[in-house]
Amino acid sequence: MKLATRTGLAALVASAIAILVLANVVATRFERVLSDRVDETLIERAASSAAVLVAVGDRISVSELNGVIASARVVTGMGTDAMQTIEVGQQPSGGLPSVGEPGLRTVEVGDESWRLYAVSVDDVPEVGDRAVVEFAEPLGSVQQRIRDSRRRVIIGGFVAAIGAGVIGWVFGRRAARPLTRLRHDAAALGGAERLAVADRYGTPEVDDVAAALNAGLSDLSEAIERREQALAAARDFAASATHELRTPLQSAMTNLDVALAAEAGPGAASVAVARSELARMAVSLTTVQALSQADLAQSQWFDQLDVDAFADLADEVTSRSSSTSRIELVVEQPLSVAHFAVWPDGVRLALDNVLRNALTHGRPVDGSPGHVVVRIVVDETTGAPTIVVDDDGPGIAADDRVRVMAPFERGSTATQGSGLGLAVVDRVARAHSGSVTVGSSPLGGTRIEIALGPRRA
Amino acid sequence: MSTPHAPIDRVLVVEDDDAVREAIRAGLALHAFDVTVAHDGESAIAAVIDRMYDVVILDVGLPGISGIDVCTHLRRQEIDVPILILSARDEVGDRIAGLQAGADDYLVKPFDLSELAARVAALIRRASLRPAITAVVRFGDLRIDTDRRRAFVGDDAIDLTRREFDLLHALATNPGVVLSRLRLLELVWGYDFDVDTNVVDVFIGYLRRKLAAAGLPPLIGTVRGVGFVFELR
Repeated sequence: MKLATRTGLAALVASAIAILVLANVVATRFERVLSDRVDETLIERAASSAAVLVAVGDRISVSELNGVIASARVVTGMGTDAMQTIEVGQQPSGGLPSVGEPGLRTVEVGDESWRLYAVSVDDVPEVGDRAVVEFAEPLGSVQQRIRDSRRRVIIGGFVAAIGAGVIGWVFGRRAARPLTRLRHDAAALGGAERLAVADRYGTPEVDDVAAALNAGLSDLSEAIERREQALAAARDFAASATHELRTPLQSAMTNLDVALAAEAGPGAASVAVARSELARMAVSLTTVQALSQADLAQSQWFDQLDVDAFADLADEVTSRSSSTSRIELVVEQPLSVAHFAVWPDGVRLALDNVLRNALTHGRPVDGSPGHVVVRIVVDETTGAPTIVVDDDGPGIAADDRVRVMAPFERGSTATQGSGLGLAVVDRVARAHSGSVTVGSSPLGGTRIEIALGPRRA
Repeated sequence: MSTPHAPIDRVLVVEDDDAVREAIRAGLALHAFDVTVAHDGESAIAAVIDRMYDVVILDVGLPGISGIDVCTHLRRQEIDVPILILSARDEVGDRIAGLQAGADDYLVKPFDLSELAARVAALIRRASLRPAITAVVRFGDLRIDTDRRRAFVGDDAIDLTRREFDLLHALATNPGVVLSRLRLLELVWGYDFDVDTNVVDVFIGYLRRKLAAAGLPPLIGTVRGVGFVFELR
């Protein structure tokens, strides 16, 4: 739940509870005041007119008293056979219960409440003992007023609570704004040049979070920088080392070429052997350099390629081959044309190596021209391309399939090659967070799958 | 094993490493080229301005003025001698920078002497076989002026290196015809022998990008497994 919604709801619930409690307190207090006033009225009435009522009870007719006295009963001869009750003024429709002990009480008549106050009038000689006057007052209007006021307080309270909720939500949103900004800043870190968020967001708590985040990010960027420096140093070393090796190799090879062309003496055969050994060395050097390049591949080398551009790249490599084998390129176009960042030189290198393998080792054992199928399959969800190369050669034994990935390892039946080809392919795939799998092809030979992206689980 | 060519073909070899320079000199002399050597960029520029050469073989990693700078300088002076660059250190970066600076082809060290000799001979032969026909080829908004060796979109010239122009010309004069990589190597570079290079694809890439940047629709298509075709789609 969003912070603003949370604070809004909290404000709403808190103020609703506060208002309900307050409404109850106020209503109780109001009820007390109102009922106190009823009691006062009854007591006052009793004080001013109880004696008179008893005294005149016999002599004037009740009807004359009606309208003068609000509501009362005069009981004479209480507890004797001559007990007589005279009702004066307004009476409840169901009639009041019999007069009780002197004092205040509340009775329920039907669905109405009445407040009663009974007093004994003992010192009126004309009526003698046991005269009781009871004054009554209906509480209906009082209760109605209490109910009304309680309802008003509650309705007002709920309106206020909703208002408080809205205000709480607005303030919550305001309070959350620095957090939102921090979130945006943090989300933008991926493409940011500097790994840091701002120092100030206007709220101390958020500033603390930002400071903690920045501390962590600073450690991280230091680590990244150190790694980048190490990688750059390694790349530089690899480039310099191969350069230093290539240059003398170049002059040695060219000198031997000259010697071979110029002389046909007895040493020529030895020169030719030396020359071909150097050529082998040159191939290994190029491959080792490719290995180190793939291991140290940098993000700038990657390029967004659509399926067509990727197929062009594969087409370029397949068409350069000058073998008698038939190479077929199939592009399985997905529903949407995917754009995916690949390292074109790496892909070229990998494809080159796999094709070379297929054309050299993947020929049918009977010596007929081979058939190689290169398929490009694009994952519809991730857009990651996979290159599948099938040949119709003798295949690679299941036991060898993992081992051939390692540098300087050859298949158990292979006699040629540096043993670096598949290692390069493996490194290129890994530079794309992908992997290489060796299996059997439906054509009968080897299938090499180069996934240039993470495989789906 | 010498490649047939006119005996007076003059080659300038620019290379700072003494052993490599001398080896290439001896090797090309064996293939009957008239070889002159320079050991840095400044003397290379001076040599080219001083004398006509048929091909310049240029090492990229020269001290001082780099091979790329030499290339840029010569092209800016409108000297269109074929330039073959030799890349050694940063293979990919050197190659791209060199070809974009106007070089015609590249070789990565270490290479075979016969490969170098064959390419040099082909570049010379190709340079002497430039079409002499004065013609203007039009393709929608694209106008190719063979005589001035320039391409235009409306009145704006497209900034093409010479080899890019040659490639565009070869494609545009064969509209609708699928040209294989081998055929393009032959038409544009003069390589009529088996050559292991992706230079066609590299230049097709440059050309496509420059034509698109000039606001033209895609004109160069790939026919998978065959080659490239120029057509207004």
